[in-house]
This record gives sequence, structure tokens and C-alpha cells, in this order.
Amino acid sequence: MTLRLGAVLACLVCAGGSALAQGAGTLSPGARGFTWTRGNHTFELRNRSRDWTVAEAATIKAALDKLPDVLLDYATQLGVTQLRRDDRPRKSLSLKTNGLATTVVEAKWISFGDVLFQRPASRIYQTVTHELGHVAQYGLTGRSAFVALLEVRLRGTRGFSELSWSSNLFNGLRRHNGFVSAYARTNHREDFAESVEFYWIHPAELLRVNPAKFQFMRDVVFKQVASPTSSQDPTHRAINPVLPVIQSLGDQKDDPFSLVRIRGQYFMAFKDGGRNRVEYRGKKALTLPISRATIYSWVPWLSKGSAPITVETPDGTSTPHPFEVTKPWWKLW
Amino acid sequence: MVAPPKPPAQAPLPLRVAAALGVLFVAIVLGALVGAGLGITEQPTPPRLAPAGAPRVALPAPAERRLPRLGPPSRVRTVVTASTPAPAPSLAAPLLEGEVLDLAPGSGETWVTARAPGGVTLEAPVEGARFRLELPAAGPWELRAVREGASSPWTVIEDPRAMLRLVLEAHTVLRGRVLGPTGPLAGAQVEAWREAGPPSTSVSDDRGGFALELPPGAGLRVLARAPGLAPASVRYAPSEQPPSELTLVLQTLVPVVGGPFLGADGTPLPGPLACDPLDPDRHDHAVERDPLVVELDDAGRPELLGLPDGRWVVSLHEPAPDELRAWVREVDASEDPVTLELPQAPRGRLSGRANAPRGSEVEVELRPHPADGERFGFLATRFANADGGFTFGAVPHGTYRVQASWRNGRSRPALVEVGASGRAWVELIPE
Repeated sequence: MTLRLGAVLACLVCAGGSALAQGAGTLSPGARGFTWTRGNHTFELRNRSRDWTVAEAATIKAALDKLPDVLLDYATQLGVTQLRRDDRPRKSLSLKTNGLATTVVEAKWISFGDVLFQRPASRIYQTVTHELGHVAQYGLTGRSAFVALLEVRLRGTRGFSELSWSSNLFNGLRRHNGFVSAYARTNHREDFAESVEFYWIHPAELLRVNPAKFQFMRDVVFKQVASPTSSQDPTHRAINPVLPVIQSLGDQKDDPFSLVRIRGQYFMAFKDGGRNRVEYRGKKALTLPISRATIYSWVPWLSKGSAPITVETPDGTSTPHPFEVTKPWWKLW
Repeated sequence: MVAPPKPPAQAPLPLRVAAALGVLFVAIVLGALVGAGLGITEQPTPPRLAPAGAPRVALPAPAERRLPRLGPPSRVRTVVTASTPAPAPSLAAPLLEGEVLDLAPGSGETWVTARAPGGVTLEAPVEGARFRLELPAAGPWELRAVREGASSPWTVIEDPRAMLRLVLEAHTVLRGRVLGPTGPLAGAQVEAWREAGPPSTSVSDDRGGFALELPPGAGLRVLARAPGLAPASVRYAPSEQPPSELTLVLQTLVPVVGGPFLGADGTPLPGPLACDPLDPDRHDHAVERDPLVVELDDAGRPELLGLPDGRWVVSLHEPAPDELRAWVREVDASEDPVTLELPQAPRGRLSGRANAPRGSEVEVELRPHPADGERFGFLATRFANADGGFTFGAVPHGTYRVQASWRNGRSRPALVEVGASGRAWVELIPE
């Protein structure tokens, strides 16, 4: 059995070397999993509630082989070098999550769950890059893991976080565009990790979506190291620009000064930095930002009849949504 | 002895004039009431009949659905077929003409359906593989042909003058199972949505199994729900194929203890409570959620058994005569019960002046500070007076970020504390 495993691993190392841009690491089995090594970088693939299979370890190896030393340096510097195999990924305090993987920088591990290994190898490569992107953000502080955690969460990353976020602590968004994925809009940390992922795997997409983030990744995070073609995946596409969209209204018709709840997408929420402007038939209405999907508005004083509603945000203006201003029978004036 | 009835007394002239005027006033009011009640001034023009036959007209649901308890999402589009005419056309009526190519097995009466973004639906029969449909207004419209067991994908009409060709394709069947917390779940409602068009629906059988007939089209979202359980959904991009057998797991709701929600004067707020899911966090909550609207009872308590796990923005409008107010907070529904309560802080007045350009329409907004979202925060907005002055009359004690905005500018945000004195003043200076 050991002999067969050794043969398989030897093949993996050989096969891996041919298509790699950054250099093939060595994957060797151990009592508690596997160890991947390349130069001064060592990652331990540790068995936890699940054991690493040979195939899974090979997929992780293929991903690490494609990543540059400059990115792995952050993990080595912070000591985040344990890649755990769990049934479900663990976050802080070893609490289980339902995602694909988690990075717990203060505990110095990255945890991978069952769900990830049901996905194609390209997705595993993206996820490994994404998680190491988290580590890079903390590593940029040059501090110990715990201090880096606090600093990044409280202050963000200077030169990057303020590009899209008005508040790092409360996840205030400046606008919905300028992100590579919808998930990047979660907070500045996910935005950073997603940007790392796209800079390395499909840099043209990051450049298209947000040149400033591309420049930050190139100059600060990757220190001018560009992604070779063999590390790229041109099918990994970023999202396209969005405009605010009105999907439905609490009321399709109502009187002036009535409350109308506007539901849709890409609005600015109460914690966000950007603002909404709602107009009924071109007349500005009082509004309250609630969430990125809901705005409360007051119907302005208008004569009765059609009064299409538009929502304007820093991303642009929605297409008009039909609305009818009515007037109660007792209003004889 | 019975006293004879008194003869009716003649009323004095001024009294009779007053009575006549009263009758006249009542008649005017009744006239206005009847006119408004029948909606005489709002009768829209009916669409003209298409030459190919009488189009059937359907109107959109008047408003989003309100849920007495946890129930279906508001994106459910209920199309009510009615004899009511469509809204008045605003532009010249385009005439759609085209042919239908039937490549699917089977046969039957074929119809062409056109849908406007507002939800208005028109239908016309296909005769001799051709159709003509006169739309009541300019587009964009979505169009498809449909017959039993087959349909064409929804097509957005960009140029109504072009001759259209719709190709009928056979429907496919999506099979799967619905599981509850204890195993297979019978009676669950299952829906499949394409990017356009109404959903296909089914109900799970005794073993949790379901089969959905899927029309052709791009994208797919499958949703299952059952009373008392968190809905589950899965989405497939146009390039992805669902598995041969799909499994949807409905989890137990996170219990919610809430209310009563009371306004500034201590009376119950009318509601409803709006719950918006935050973007799903791949790390914690892989399942996509739908928004909920929850009614409050007469005591101001939400009629809500629980929330599906995930992160939510919960908001509640507080009526006020001269400003727009709301309460809002974020909720991370995990395994612990969620408590939703408004802070019962005393209220004060926050006044100020916005130094905006003369003649500007100035909106002043206050938001809680810090906007941590962990407790219910009070938000309000109002227009300033012509001189820029404003007063928020019932602000719960706390710290607020106040900012004015106008068409081409805004003020610097100011932090203001409404404290024990019950009064606060702020001067808002342009940025």
C-alpha cells in the first residue's frame, strides 16, 4: 500500500511539473496527512475530522504549484501553513460553517470542507488562492497574526479598502460597481481576497472591473509579479456593471404622502456610504435607506396620474417603474 | 285619551335656506364619492383586439404579497387573469407578427404570450403557424409561444417591426426529493423559476419526491418551502445543468421572540415588519434566502414563528405626519432564539439649520451612530424649511449622524447627541 501511494505521489510530482509556471512543489505523505514543500515554503495538509485523500491532496498541490512565492510568503511569515481537512470548515473557536473553506489567521490554519472537493479542480484552485488572499491582507500589516487581525478589521488596508468602502468596521459600501464578484461586496476583507484571486487567475478581468484595485494588487500585494498564462483561467469571469433595479413596490398606486416600500437590487443601505435619490414623475421624494434591497419612500405631492419611479445611486439610475398617484375622494381641493 | 297630532310647524325662511344648502352639499359630496368610488377618472383605455383573435389580458398583482407567517417569497408573481383592461397606452401601439415553428412532439392549441415589465400579459392564438399581436404600449416586451408540453424560450422584443420566429421545444422534467429535519418531507411546495416567465410548481409526495415540468429557457432556480420550516433554494447559471435528482433540505426555523413594537406615543405600530436577507456569506450561509414581510397583530407583535438561518435586515416603519421614520437592525439568525425589541428610550427634539444654496430642496437625514446594526437603530428624514431650518420632533435619546443633501451637493455629516436635556441643535455646513 505504501509503495502504491509512493508511486502515485511520484507520478503526481512528475505530472505537475510540466504545466507549472511557478514551480512544482513536492508532496509527501506523513502520519497526519501530507506535506507540500517548495523552496522555503512548507504547507502541512493535516487530517482532522476527515483524512486527506490522495486525489484531494493532489488538487491542493496543483493549486499551490500555480501560486507565486510572493503570495505564499505572507502565509509563511504569519505561520498560517496548516491546511486542515474537515467535514465542514471551521471558523474561530472551531465553530462549523457551511461554506467551502475558511481562513482562521489567529489559529494559523485554513480549513477545507467536504463541499469544496465536490467542485471542479478550477474551483479548488480559486478557493485556495482566495484563502491565501485573506492571509496576504493580514500579512501586509507586517504584524503578528493577532494584532494583524485587529488592525485589518478595524482600519482596513490603506490604499485598498477606501476604494470601495466608506466604513471598514460596519461594511459601508460606496457603490455596487468596482467589484469582481457579488461576494466581494460582503466586506472589505472578502473584496481583498477576491481581488487577489482575480489578479492571479484572470488579471484582465480585475483590470476591467477596477483598475485601481488591479494596480494595488500588482504594486503592493504581488510586488510587480505578473501571472503567467499557465496560472490563468480565462473562463473565470468577473461580474458586469450593475444599475439599481426596482423589482416591486409595496403599493402600485397611492396618495401623496403615503409610504411606499420600494424593493429591488443594488440600492444603498443605511450603513452604506452612498445615497439613494428616488423620484416620482421626476419629483424628488423623501427616502430612507433600509437595506440594499429596500428603500422606504414617501409619495411626493403630485397631481394624480402616472408617476414612474426611478432610483438613482452612485452606480446610476434605474429604469422607471410604473406607479400611479391617486387622490382620496374626500380631497376636494 | 289620545292627544291629536300637532300640525307640522312651518320652519322659518333662514332655516329652510340652510336646509336646502345642506342637501345641496350632501349631493355634491355624494357625487364626488360615487365618482371617485367607481374610479371614473382612472378607467384606462382597453387594448385593441388583435386581428388573429381576442387577446386575453392579465394584470399584475397589485402589490407584493404580505405574509401572515413565514411563507412564500415576495418574488412570487401572481398573474390574475381578469377582464379588466390593461393600463392606458403611452406610446404608439406596435404590432407583432411572426411564425411559430413546432419541433416538439405532440400537438395542441398554441398561444403566444407577451409580457411587459410591469407584469401586464397579453395572449393571442396561433393560427396556421402564424400570429399577430397588437401591443397596447411600446416595450420592452417578452414573448413566447406555448402549448401543452412544449414552449419557446422567452424572447425580449427589441425591434417590434422585425418578423419574429418562435421555436417550440419540448419541456423537460426535473426530479428530486425534499427532506425535512427528520427525513423525507411530504406536502412541500416546490417551484422552478427560469430567468423569465412564471414558475413551474409541484408538491412533494409521501416520500418527499417531486417532478417539475421545465419549459426551455436560461437559468434555473428551484425553491422548496413548507410551513414552519426554512425554505431552501438552489440556483443554476445558464451554463450549468441541475443533477439528475435534486435534493433540497428544509431546516428548522430559528425561533423569534419579538415585540410589542410601540411608537413614540406608546401605541402599537401598524407594521409590517420587513425582513431582507443580506447577501449570502459563502463561509456561513450557503443557502440563498428570500425576503419576508410580516404583519403585526393589534398589540404590535409580529406574527412570525421564526427566521431561516442567515443574516437579515429587519425594518419597521413608524408613522409620523411630517417626516419619514423607521427602525432598522441586522439580525444574525443562528441557532439561538432571536429577540426583536425596540429600545424604549425617552424621546427628544433635534433641530438645526442646513446652509444650503438658496432655493434648493433640502433633505435632512439622521442615522444612528455608530451604525453597527446590532440593535434597532432609529432613522428619519424630512425636508428642511425654506430657510434651511428643520426639527425632528421625536428622536430617541442617542447619538446620530445628521446630513443634509440637495440636488448638487450635501453638507458635511455632523454627529449629534440627543441626551438628557431632550433637545439638541446642529448647524449643517456644505462639504
